[in-house]
Amino acid sequence: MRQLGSAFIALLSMASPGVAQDLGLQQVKYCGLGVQGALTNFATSNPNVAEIYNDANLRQSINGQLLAASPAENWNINLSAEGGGASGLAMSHVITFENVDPQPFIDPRTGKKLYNVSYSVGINTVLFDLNARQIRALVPAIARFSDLKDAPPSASEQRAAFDGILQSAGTPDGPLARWLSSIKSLPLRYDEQTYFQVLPVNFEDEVREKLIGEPGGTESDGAKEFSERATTQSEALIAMAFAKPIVPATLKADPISSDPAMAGQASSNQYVATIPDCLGDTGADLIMPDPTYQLRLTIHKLASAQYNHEFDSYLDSGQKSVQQEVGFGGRFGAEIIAFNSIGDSTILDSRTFSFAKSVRFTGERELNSYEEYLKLTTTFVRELLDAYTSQDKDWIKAHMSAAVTDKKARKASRVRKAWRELFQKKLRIPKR
Amino acid sequence: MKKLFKQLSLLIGLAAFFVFPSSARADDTALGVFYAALKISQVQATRATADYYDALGFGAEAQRTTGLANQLDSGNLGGNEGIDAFSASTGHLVVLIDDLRARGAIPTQLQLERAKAAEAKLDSANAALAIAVVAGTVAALDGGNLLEKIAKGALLAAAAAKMTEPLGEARRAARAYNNLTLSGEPGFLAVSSQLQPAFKDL
Repeated sequence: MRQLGSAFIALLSMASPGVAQDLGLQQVKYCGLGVQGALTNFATSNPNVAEIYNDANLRQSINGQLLAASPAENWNINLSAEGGGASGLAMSHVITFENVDPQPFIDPRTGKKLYNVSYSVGINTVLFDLNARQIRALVPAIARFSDLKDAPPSASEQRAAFDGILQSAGTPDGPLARWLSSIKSLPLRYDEQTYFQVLPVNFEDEVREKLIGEPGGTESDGAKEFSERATTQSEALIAMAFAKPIVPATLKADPISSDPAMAGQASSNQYVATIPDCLGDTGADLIMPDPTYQLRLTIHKLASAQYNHEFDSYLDSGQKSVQQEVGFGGRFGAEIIAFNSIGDSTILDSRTFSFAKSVRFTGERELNSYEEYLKLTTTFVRELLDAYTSQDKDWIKAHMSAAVTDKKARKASRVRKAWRELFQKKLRIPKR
Repeated sequence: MKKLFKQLSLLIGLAAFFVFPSSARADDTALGVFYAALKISQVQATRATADYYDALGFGAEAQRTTGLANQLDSGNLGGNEGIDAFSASTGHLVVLIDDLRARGAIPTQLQLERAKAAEAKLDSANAALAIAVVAGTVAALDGGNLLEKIAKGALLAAAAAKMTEPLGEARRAARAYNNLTLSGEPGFLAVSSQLQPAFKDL
């Protein structure tokens, strides 16, 4: 039925260029790929994507694939290479980061050490006003791809992998095709009025020290990088869960500032992006709208523990084998805030939850606690957002923190009722 | 296990308040259904386990487990021996799936299709087990005095429960396998009951 509807709208648009406007669709110029910040800065920390991006022919080819795969039923915009015109609207896919994570493991079938190499690319879909340089909607998301190798990937293999990712918009089940399918399921609108923001994830001192001490964390940037990665991933999660555009926290924000007033604050409403097809080769300033609501996440505690499970060996009768279970847990504070630009923002909901998950394996494994805590944090955010939208009483009950001692505050039915009022009635988040 | 035993004991306890006409034939029929359903459950679950091994690329284990399923089906492995063999096979499969999940492995489309077929077999194994439990309850309630009924109920409950635990584990692992997605999920599992106390202060 929806396909029929879409075909009907497409036919009408072909018949008369003016009809699209009548149906509430705005013509939007597609600007292709862009990068976040100035290109030179971006290239320093994202060498593979920058190399692909700098190949003008390759970039144009990717832009063509993205444009061809972009039309979405849920959007009230019509993308085209020429587009824009009277509306002055434009859209770009702005790459925010690249990441390679080689996860070593022992294959139980062969006993050989292998690497599960995970590649990810952050992409913000940005709809903006070309003349006023004002952002109308921004939807962050992360495209992922995994590869199995018997050695850590070489520089040329990494480059080839990112090349494959960025050219996969038209490949069924390709990383970009899957990413596009997620974005297209959201109601991206040029006239959106409600924006969410994830404030930079912040910590209590005890947690900060723990993160610095973990492998992967260094004295200078361990906790700050953790906050940035957790915040970026939470932005992508909230865009998907709430189906609303995001006002990203800027990179200048300092999650561990010694000044309490600065900790966990977003720093400005400026968004710098390089979008050569529409805004020139240098980083251009775009103005972000004020957020309507904010999510503030605070990590109060982190803990890990281990348990060995014994079981009968299947292959060696009478022998015992041991399966290790390593658990990671945290105490998380989550607040929903109604933002007010004149400084009297209101906390609409404030809760503290406990959350723990584990991995189980036999034999040796190289577990990086820093990465596991990061995954724990994003898994928590994913489940929390699901619980917000579904008002799942069982989830609330199972995850109530031991730190919440007030009997009324612990009552899952009261939390569910409050969340129904807030997320369904006030924020109008569709119930799952 | 405790829950199932409790349910059966409760039914037996309740039966003490009622007097049903009983006959040796009814008793035999219910017992027959019980053992037949238990066997179907074992065979189906073992075949599902073999399919999962196959889907995961563990050829030797898949072959060995298929052999076990055939033996169970033809009645060459009777009683506890068959259940123990199934339990060990399932335990090994669960550990392998946990391993794959812990490293964030990504199944191919073909593997997922095979796993889906295997899960359907696990479902039918579970349904057969449910029938066995009902038949076992009827068999336990038929004939004999109260003490005999309780003793028979306990025996049948224990036979069914030996199957319940590994089957439950296999289903948990199957769900974990089916949830291995392409989205880069970290491969976390719910914390086991043994490890939960470590996080109670959070």
